Amino acid sequence: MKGSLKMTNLLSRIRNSSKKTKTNTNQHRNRKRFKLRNQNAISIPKDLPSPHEEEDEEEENAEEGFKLKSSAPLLTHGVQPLGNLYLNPGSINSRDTGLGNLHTLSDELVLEILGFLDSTDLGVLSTVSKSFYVFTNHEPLWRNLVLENLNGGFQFNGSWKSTYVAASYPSFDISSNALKSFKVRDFYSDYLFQSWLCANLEMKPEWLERDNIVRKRGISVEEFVLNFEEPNKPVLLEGCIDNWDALENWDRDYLMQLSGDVKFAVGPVEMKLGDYFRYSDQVREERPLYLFDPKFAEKVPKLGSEYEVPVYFREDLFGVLGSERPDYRWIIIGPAGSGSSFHVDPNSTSAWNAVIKGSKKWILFPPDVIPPGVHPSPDGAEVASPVSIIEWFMNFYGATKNWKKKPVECVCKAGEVIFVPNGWWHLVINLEESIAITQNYVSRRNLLNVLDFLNRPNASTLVSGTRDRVNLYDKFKNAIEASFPGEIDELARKAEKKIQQKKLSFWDSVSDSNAGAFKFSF
Amino acid sequence: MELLCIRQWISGLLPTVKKWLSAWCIKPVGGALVRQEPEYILLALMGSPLKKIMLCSSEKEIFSVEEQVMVQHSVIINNMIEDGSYNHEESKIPLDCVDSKTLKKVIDYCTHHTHHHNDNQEDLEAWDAQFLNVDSNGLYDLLMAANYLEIRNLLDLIYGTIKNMIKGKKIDEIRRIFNIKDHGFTPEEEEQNRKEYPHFY
Repeated sequence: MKGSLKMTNLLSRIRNSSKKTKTNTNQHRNRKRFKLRNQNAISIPKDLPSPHEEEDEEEENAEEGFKLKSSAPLLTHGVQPLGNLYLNPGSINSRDTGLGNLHTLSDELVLEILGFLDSTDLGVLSTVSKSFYVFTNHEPLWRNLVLENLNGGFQFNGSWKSTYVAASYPSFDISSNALKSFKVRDFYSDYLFQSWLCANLEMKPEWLERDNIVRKRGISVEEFVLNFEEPNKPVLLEGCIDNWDALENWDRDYLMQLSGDVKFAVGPVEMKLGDYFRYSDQVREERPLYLFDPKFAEKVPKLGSEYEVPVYFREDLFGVLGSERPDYRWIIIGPAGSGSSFHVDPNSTSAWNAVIKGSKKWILFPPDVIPPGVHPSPDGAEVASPVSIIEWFMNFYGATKNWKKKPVECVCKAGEVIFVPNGWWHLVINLEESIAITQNYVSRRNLLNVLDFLNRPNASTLVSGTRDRVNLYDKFKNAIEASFPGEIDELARKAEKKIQQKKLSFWDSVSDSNAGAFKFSF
Repeated sequence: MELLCIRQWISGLLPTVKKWLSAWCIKPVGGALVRQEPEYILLALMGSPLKKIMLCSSEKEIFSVEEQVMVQHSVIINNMIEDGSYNHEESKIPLDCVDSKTLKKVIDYCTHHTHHHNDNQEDLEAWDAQFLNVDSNGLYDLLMAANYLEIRNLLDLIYGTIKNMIKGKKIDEIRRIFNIKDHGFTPEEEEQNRKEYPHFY
């Protein structure tokens, strides 16, 4: 908040994609959920008109500033970030006056309280005051109501609230009612503003510029193992799925036709493809629901037959467990903006991800480099990170520009396969509606790692993709011994040798007077 | 120094002792059955004071509380003690967002629930209801303190109370309960509300 800042209302700045503004980002952490919310101090222009007349303004040239999705509803209720309040001396925050005694609570706590109410209570509250009106229209509240009560069998109707009302009160005429939003003046709230902003932001071009992954086409399996799998480095492989029927056939209509009424796993619920696409076409939210089904080939066998594992990844030792193996293959469908925030793949496995339609932006950090803004607990069981992917880009991506160890980045397009080595942090965001297949696997190279992981004392919380977490270690070890007797011992011996060699070379370098480890000066 | 060693030694012994003491009960004459925790028995027998920690409110008032009590209820304090950053001889835990009045209430809650966790459900609920009989601002201060310290059962209790303040009430009642003087709707907007949601009014 410096004196040199031009006074620009964030709303008009975004709408017009106009002049440069400096945003003061004070990060404060919500202790309970480890969400990072920015406090943007944005300044207001004296010369630009007030927020309520923006609809008539023309777009100016985009310099900096964020670009909104073209279909973004113009700030449904006129919520402004808290910073604006401080720059408007004498202004009262209608948030506080409208909440009454509850105004001392933070936005998160108020929303937490509202999370306990049913739709009728929320409806009543929305007419109690303008402030409550804004809070009760917070879409995630209605999303939870839909997912809890309608369980995936819902017809998305433009917004979660609308969807819920339409499903619960079919005779209620939605068109004339709840969607007629009231204009709200002088309502300042960082949480609600940020929520809206993240839901409606487009990916900035500069976030997509860096593409530094190694790309290979037509290499041999040996070359892949030697140069990438063994040293645990990511690579983008081109041309290795050209023979897939899926590449040719899979599009929306084809998939819908094949799957009929079969329900796929979408977050906490299961949905038919048609219903899912209806949702993904209309949705504008921070973290869209992502279709991520580990049993797609069992549900629709034809899907499983139209692709095959690329030749580099055929050695998959979890296969010895047969039907008892943890989840290992997923079909992934999602709209632009959906994806996964930073995580490490479970059970210490490696993965490959093939894009069949659309494109994905990937950011990868090696196992020893924790991405900015990500806070894993010491045992790795919990990872606290910003809620949405867009928020990570807004707040943390810039920091990586100055790092020596830059992340590996790429945009993976249809027909390309990315190899994600085990232990690597990765974040994925769909740049357009995408269909992809991914598999996790264990090869000889990371067999020992996986066994180690499964043998950990807290395996019951960390191991994923199977119901039998505690016994997985024993089962897997025994199955490997049965199919590949002596293999584990052999690998252990080799690993031990390597460690010894490394140790030797350390002592060599210390005793070597030319190493320059000790220098005396007089 | 010696006392500290003894205390640490006792704490180290406790898990094993707890096992063979677990069948012991102490029944005070003429009152409700109260089962004493084995560690209290042992420490009482040994004559050692219970381990205490110091909490410092925003008004710089210091409260001495049994460590067990806070560790059982507050995730934040539990983490602090577990990772060893709290030095029993010197440290005070500063709680700058909690004032003395609220902190005292929080400590009351945790202490009661630790010492009386074997009481029957009705008694506990009655005590909780009495406990929450505070003015409205006190309630929200408690909520913020419980949120800050991450005391799950107190949070759930307060959320439940506030939920009941809202559930099933009419608009005017809610405005009265939460002291909302300026609802912010223009007369036209209120009229629109009345027409569209007559059943709420």
